[in-house]
Amino acid sequence: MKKIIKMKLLFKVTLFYLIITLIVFGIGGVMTYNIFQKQVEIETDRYLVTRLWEIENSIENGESPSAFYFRNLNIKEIDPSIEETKFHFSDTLADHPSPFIDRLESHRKLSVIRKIHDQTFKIEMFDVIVESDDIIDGVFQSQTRLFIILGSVLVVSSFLVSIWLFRPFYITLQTIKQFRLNDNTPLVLGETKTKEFQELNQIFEQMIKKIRSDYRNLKEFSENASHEMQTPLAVAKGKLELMLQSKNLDEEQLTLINSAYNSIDHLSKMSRSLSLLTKIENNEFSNMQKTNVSSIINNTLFDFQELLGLKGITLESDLSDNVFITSDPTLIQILIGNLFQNAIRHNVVGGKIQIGLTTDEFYISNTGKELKTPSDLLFERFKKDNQSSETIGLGLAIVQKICEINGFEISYTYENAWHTLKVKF
Amino acid sequence: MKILIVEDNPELSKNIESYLSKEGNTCETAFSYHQAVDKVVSFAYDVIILDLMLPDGNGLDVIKSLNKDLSEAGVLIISAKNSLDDKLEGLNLGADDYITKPFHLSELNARVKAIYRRKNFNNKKILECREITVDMDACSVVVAGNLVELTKKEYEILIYFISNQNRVVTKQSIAEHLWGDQADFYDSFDFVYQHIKNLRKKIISAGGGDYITTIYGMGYKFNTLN
Repeated sequence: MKKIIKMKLLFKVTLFYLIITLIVFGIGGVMTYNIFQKQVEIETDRYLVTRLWEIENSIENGESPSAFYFRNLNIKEIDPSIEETKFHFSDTLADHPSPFIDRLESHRKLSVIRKIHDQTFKIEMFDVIVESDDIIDGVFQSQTRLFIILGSVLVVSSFLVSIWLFRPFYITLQTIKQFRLNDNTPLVLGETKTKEFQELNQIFEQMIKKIRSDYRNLKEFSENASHEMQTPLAVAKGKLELMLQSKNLDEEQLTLINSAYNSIDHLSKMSRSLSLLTKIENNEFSNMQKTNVSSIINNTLFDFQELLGLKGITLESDLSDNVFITSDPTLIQILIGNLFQNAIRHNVVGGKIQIGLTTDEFYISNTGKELKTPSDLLFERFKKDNQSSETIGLGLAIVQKICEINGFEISYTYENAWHTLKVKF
Repeated sequence: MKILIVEDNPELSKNIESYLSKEGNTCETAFSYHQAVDKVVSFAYDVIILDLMLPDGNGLDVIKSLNKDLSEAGVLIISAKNSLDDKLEGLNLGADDYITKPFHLSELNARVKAIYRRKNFNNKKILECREITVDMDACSVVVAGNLVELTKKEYEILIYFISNQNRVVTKQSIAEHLWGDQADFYDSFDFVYQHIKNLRKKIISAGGGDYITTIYGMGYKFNTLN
């Protein structure tokens, strides 16, 4: 599975800006360094030229060249046939100008050949230039400090700004999170002056309005369909019952009436179960309260006692007292009732049922024939192991829906001729 | 017994009318809220069968306009909705019972009679049918002078049969009468059969007649005519 790294938008934007700033500062540093170095060179060269002029002047005025033997100046009289040259600048290494520091430093060197009066001199002058190391150091330090200041200002300000700027967005998000389809409270998304958020809120409001009206229509349709169906079914059923009262019906007629009657019964039960399923799906059972599962099971046991007896089923129970869960008690009654019905219906005559209840789970096991259909279809609507049987095939679908709504886990196992349904609370 | 049937569906209304009037009951029909209100304010009825969903109003409002001076009519609510709220509201308003569509006519008949009995036998609630006497207060049954021990279900079946005597009662309606919503067992008919077999045996051995006949595939008939 691909792992998706989740990052807050704000964090992303800030990080992005920081990276851009870092790149800009890098380029800026290189540029600063170049400009610096050029300026330093120009200044050094100008200084060297000025000094040369001073020296030339002094010699012209009659001073002896030997008076200029400094550490950073060489004047040598050379063959007068050599022609004068232009200024020649170069970088070189020379002794540090301070007599106390004994190491080579990079220097700017001016060498030139000049004729003063009749003599020809080769003059070489040195001056310490700022080393590129030093420039880099300086540039790096100043850029880093700037970057740190800018970066922290950026982080703090983008944080503050986005808290203020994204407020309407977070309010919208929170409202949408709390949105429930079947409560009819209008959606309040909060005011905003930002165009994008206004648009977003508008779209949300329209969308939810549409969803709600579609949902309402659908719900009304399924409710109406199941209600409206009951009256004609009642009519047909009644007609057949009246017909039954007529005298001298023969076996064939009775068989016909019987099968029509059964079908009507089946249809009306089916529509009732479907409408129950829809109601559960629509969260219409939302009377959440502390529900005593133990007493519901005991009551159900009492109701089913007779049916158990008629089918000769023996029951073994291991029930903890006073097990409470938070749910709608009607749903728990339906859940337990359906599981019992299921365990009795698919049992064999003289079979057995075992039930158990702890604070974490409820299980019900029954003897019975092995399933012919795959067990994962067990909870599907209208999937019956025996398609010809008169059952509706919605019992376990309802059970599963109730578990889903309450966040219970339901599982089915078949072992040693025992079918077990387990509900984990 | 005078019965008012408030039901907007004419066919359903006709079904109820023809089933109930066979026993010499007087049945009147109303097809709308206004008709119903007109009738209940001017005439006395023993039992009102009331559909809640009427084209021009809610059936529950009919109960509110019942003329208390005129009659102490029992009210049986019919609803297509299997909703607990409607049921509770109806019962709170003074309805006596509640039945959901589609119902068995025999069940409706039994409930109407039960309401009627509750309203009219003020002191002794005794139900008599030939040599069978049922004391509804003590839940005891005496056949030809002999006390018969019946189980709860057998007792319920007997009352149901007496309410619907000389009519074919389907095994589905008996199963639903006994077990309500839990009746959708495919073997509940076997249970019905066993209960009826036992009931019949007990009545005969106490000296009663053999009234229960099986109608092929369909159900049973409590025959008291011959």
